[in-house]
Amino acid sequence: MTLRSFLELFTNSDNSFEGQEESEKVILILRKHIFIIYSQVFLYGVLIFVPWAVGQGFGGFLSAQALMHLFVFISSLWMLFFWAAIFYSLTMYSLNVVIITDHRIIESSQLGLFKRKISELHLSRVQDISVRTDGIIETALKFGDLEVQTASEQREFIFRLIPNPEHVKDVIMNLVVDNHL
Amino acid sequence: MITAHFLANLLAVVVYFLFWSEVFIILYHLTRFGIGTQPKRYAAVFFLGSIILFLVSVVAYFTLDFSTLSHLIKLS
Repeated sequence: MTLRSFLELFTNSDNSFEGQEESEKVILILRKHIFIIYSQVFLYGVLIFVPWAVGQGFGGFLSAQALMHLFVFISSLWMLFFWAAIFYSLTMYSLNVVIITDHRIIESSQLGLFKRKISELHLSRVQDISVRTDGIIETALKFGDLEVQTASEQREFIFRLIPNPEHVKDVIMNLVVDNHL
Repeated sequence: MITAHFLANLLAVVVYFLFWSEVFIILYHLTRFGIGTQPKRYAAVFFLGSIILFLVSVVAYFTLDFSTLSHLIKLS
């Protein structure tokens, strides 16, 4: 039973979320393009190997001074710290999400571990959508910003660095048309 | 009597407590607020990796020879 529950982590789910209405269907779940988090995690991944490099360079000296065990212990703390830092970044990445359903668009922004902002926009309030792609990397990897103009108190929703913004724009426009029919 | 060894043990306990507090907070956020299986996968990998790295760190701590280290500190 426990093994089965664990293995279910690696299969697709129906992307349900807290606050989802009964008749509401999730159309798209958007997070920032994977390049954004990979570049950050890559940097941390390189830094995690710094103790190995130091050990290679100063191993002889550390052994002569009977400091090798202390060095290994400090290296282990270094790796614990960067392991936690990598997954802090991945947590922030995973929890910053835009959910597009057949009724509304929900933006959940995790601004820190104990700071969260949730914005909601009903599809009937959508007036205008524009896509903005800036620079070589965004153009090559096909990600950019999606700006949604609304008839709500909050005039504009901007979803930054999302993959395939043109496709997302088309999906939202189709949902808006369906909503009005 | 408060020895260097006692202080080192106390410091290690504090550091490991802070580490596991952060692990718990990150796991809680991923499992409670995560949507889809991606956050849960991250949580599983993070938890397993944390256990392994923690055990390695504890073993490394117990290999420390405090008498030699105290002697080196006194010499410097």
